Amino acid sequence: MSETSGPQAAHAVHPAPQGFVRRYLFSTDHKVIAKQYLAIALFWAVVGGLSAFLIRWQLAWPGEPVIGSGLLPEAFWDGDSWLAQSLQYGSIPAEFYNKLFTMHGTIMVFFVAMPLLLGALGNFLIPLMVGARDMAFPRLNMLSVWTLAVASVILLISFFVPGGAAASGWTAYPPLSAVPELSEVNWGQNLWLIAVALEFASFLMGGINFLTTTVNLRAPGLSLFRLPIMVWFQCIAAVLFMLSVGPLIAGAVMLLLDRLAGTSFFIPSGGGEPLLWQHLFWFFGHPEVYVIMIPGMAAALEILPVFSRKPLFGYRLIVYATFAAGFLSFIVWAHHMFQSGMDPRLAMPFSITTILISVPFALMVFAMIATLWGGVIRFPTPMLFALGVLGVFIMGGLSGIFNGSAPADIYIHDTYFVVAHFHYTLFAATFFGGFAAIYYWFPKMFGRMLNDTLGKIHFWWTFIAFNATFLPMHLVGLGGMMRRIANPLNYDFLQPLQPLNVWISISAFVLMLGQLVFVVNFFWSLVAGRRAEANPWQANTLEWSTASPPPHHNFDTIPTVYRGPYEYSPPGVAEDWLPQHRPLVGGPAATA
Amino acid sequence: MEAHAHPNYVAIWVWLLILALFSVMITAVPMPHPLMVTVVFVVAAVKAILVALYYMHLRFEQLLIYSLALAPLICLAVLLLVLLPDIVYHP
Ligand code: HEM
Repeated sequence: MSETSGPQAAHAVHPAPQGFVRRYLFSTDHKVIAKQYLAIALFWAVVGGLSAFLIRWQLAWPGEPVIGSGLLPEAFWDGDSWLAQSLQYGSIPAEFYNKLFTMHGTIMVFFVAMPLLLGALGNFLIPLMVGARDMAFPRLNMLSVWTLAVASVILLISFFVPGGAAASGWTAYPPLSAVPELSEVNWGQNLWLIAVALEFASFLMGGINFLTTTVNLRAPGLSLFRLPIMVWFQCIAAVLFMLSVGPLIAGAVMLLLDRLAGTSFFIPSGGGEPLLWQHLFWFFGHPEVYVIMIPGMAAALEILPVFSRKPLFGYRLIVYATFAAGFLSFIVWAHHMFQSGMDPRLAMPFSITTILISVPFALMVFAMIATLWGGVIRFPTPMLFALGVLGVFIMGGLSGIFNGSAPADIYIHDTYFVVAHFHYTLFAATFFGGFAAIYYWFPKMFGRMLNDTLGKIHFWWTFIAFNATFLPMHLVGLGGMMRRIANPLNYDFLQPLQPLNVWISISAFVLMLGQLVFVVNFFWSLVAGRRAEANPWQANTLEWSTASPPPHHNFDTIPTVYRGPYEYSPPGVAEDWLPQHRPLVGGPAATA
Repeated sequence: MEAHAHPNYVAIWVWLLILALFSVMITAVPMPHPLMVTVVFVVAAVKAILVALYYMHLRFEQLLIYSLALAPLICLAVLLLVLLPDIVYHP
């Protein structure tokens, strides 16, 4: 294992920088940057979860003081602290409820799902999986995570400015979002727009790195169709993001001008057109949900073959299907707008493309199931969560078909049926996919194993409580309950649904409580977990060919790749796996 | 190391500023509205092309890279096509 030289040495080996600041804060090492993204995502997951807690508290017991608020003295609530201003004697006023669901959606999509699934996974895995020493542009990479940090701080500040945080939904539809007097939020919404625009800039920079690294820094022998699905999907996600986000960044600036400079791009009284924002938002928004979905699916697709000891079924088919889905994702956006008053002639074509897009995703699901078929399946925690992605996503996909056809959507639009649908898809990707990935790659990231028993408890707790929470939401939705209402008891026809709402809320609290198992496992394993060997799962891809955790320069010698990533149980080989970088010397039986 | 000469980024920036000023000032000149809109759009297109050619280095790449610029153009076309009925022909 001498020095790297020759054409493989994409980057020279630099010694790891010394000193805490250069090493852990302003680091250009993709592995450290991935952990920074992970930390940001986990921090925001707590805030997003807390807001979900308050949302569900209010929906189950509207107007009741939030549990625990009674512990604070009466005098506290007469004070002018932020908490006392937001909650009235402990209960949630409608204006604060609006902020809660707005920030919940914004945080979960832009500050949890993307940092976790793209920031952390993409950054950690792409260089390791393609056999590179780091990203192509390490300093740009550092800039991207720090831009996200600045965006995070701005979003956090927006909670505390006068008027409080944004309150016009994560979709920020004008005129509500364009005219401060309407939502009684001024700086909160401005800061929201700035934070979100910065977040976009951050992930644009990240995406440039993903693509350039994959195109230019692959190890010798690693042809495109030998890339792990994770790398493919991260790149496809990066392309989708790049192609869709531009119009919305422009739209965000226009909306900011409407608020600050007196323009009327979106304000009807000044001749503007609110529908323009909806089009721009969803032209981005629909590809965006696939930007989240695809890496979550990729985590499952990486893990399923490893624990069924079988090659991934239909590798090329999956890649092509995802290209198709990516392409189609640009021509489905108006299915979010069937009820918006847009030109009704658009409903039919957009229904058709929406139903069409279920074909590539169904192909992916079939490929997952076919991978399992006849395999020698083991069930460690990552596998359980990967199967969770599969099961939960199937549910979300099925309800999507109802939403996608305009005639059905007219009835269920803006009800809890839709809320249930998008949590079945987004939660599947973000948390089932995210946890699968964390349990699977934790040994590589931190050099220690997560505890498997705690992991299994965490999985079953999460899986059962998740379904107990979100399955009944379909019913509540079909019963007519609208989303974004602060008090269902204000509506006579929703009274009979209240027991279900209480059930949903209690299940949601159980779901959140279950995450403590993960928190304990995470921190306990960081310091006291069993030490991981280089390849604890006996997997084929390149990241497992180097130490756990990898050295600063990733590989002592850049590996040469001889085959695709999913050669499990190949004939004529003694073991049931065949790593990508292992040459077969002296005939097919050799396993050295 | 680099084979090509670096463009003068500052000069490009100054040009962009001049063009931006120009498109603001032109609105003070009396002329038919459609003409003004056309002028403003042409200036905007020139600015975009300057950015793409120099800041995004398209000028110094192989021809193949232009094929990549096709994808966003197609997206733009689709977006505009669908926007038309809602924006232009709205009562
Ligand atoms: C702890 C689990 C979660 C619970 C209990 C929960 C609960 C809810 C509820 C009840 C709403 C509807 C609020 C309303 O319309 O009044 C909502 C909205 C939303 N949730 Fe969640 N959620 C959870 C996790 C997630 C995750 C993981 C994501 C995405 C990655 C997410 C994304 C959203 C979005 C985008 C909205 C729409 C916000 C809006 O209407 O502007 N949620 N959530």
